[in-house]
Amino acid sequence: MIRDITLGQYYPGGSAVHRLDARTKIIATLLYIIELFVVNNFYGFLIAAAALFAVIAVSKVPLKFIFRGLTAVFLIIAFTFLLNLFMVDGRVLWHWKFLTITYEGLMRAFFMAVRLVLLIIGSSILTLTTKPIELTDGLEKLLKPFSKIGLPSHEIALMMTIALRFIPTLMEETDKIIKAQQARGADFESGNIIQRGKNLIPILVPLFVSSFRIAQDLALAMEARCYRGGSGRTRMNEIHFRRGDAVAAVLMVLFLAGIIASRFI
Amino acid sequence: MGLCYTQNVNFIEVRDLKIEFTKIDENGAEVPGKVALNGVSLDIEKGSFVAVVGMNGSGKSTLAKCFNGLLIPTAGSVKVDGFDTADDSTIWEVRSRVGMVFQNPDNQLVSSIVEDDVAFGPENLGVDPAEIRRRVDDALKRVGMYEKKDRGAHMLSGGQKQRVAIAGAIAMRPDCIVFDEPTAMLDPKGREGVMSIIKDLNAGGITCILITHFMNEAEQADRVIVLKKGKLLCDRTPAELFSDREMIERAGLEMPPAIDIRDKAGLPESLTTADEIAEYIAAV
Repeated sequence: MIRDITLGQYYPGGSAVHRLDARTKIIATLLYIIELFVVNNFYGFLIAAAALFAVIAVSKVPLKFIFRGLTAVFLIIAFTFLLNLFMVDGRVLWHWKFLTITYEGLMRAFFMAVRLVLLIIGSSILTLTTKPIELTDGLEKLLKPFSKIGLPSHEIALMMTIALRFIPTLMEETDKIIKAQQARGADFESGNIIQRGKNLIPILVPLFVSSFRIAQDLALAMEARCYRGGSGRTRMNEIHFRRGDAVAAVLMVLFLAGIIASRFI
Repeated sequence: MGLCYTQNVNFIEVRDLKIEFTKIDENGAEVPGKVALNGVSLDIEKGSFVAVVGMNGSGKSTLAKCFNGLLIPTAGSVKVDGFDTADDSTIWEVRSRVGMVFQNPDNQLVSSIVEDDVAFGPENLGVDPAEIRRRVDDALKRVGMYEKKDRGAHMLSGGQKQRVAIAGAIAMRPDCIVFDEPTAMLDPKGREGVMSIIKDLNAGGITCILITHFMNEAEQADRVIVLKKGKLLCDRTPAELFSDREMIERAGLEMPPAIDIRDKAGLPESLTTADEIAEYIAAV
């Protein structure tokens, strides 16, 4: 299941979306997520979904790739849906013993599920079309103004780069440890939830130790490659605002207006 | 090239090098720990290809880390191109001249994407963006990974990751690259690929220092340095070393497979390399 998480993965390509400045994409994604919570009716979601699929079409990222990310969080979406479905008071549609479904609950549950799906797809578009290094460079530049008040923007960006780089490595490491413990007779599949939680300790402890070892190796490798903090560094690909970014900004404003207008329909 | 460097210019000079690790005792005070290297003196000539061999714990990886100032001598000195590695003010001069490739291909790549990782070194040196682009493309072509420059690092095989790591070192345009057991975690095919890159780089004028425990790799160097328990046991050409069975046993090493076959088959001892032996056998 862990392997299916597409968040943080990059899908190589040269589309207009890929070529946008990372800062444009980060801001657009943030705005999009905020707008999803502004939407309160069917038409709003229609606009939001249409906009999202237009972006996907332009980005040329295969739909299969995008939906794979959803399967990993399916449980969370289902849980949220059920919780909303049964917990909201209002006009009763269906009633059985202690379970009650109301009209308001059904609508709320449906909206929440759609909202979550769009949110996850929206943010995975960002990481699928933006190279990790551009993403962190963009973030570093966006956070730069805050470095005056002591926010270590370069360090935060580098931490993100390394975290994204080592997600697959640590997953492989976890796999290896699980297999090694299973070979010694460890059982991860039976028992109640507390038992299973306890059974994870023989995985977590070695994983912790090995991540320290990896960190030490990496620190040596970085020192050997003359890493000495953010000052004096240059970038292979300096990020720039281009015409495409202006077009994206205009589209984003139109979208924003559409969403706000939809509230009054 | 204009000026032609002669082969006997020393690029690295190691004098009476001692490395002693300290450990913290139960009172929290630093006490002397293991002596990893003791009284090691050697010179590495510009443009040469030197192998360093020895058993586990002989101090060969420790020596590798002394060549670019990752470890500072407890006593004695290491000079790279005239710069003392113990001098804090010139440490970056040393590290930009001596690149390093480590054993574990997974733990030395910083960025998720191949070309961004190769760019990490030159970016740290503050090289101009257009020049970084040129260096990255050139380095990736030299290791045969140019076609995979957009790939995610986690999609590559161990051998390919190691080649990217080498490209990362090349892109800094060093005079010398230290390879610390680069093939230890690779399959035979990956090992062969890395060895042929090392030889290409050396032929292109880069001084190569290869730490290894594979004797068939050491055999391909100009010179082999043998360490034992932190001391320099001997420093000879591969032909000299591998004709001395007693020395090999004393160092706790084994003969390269080709030499073993030569001796078991009773072939003439004048044959010293795998290629010569193969040619001789083919001719018979």
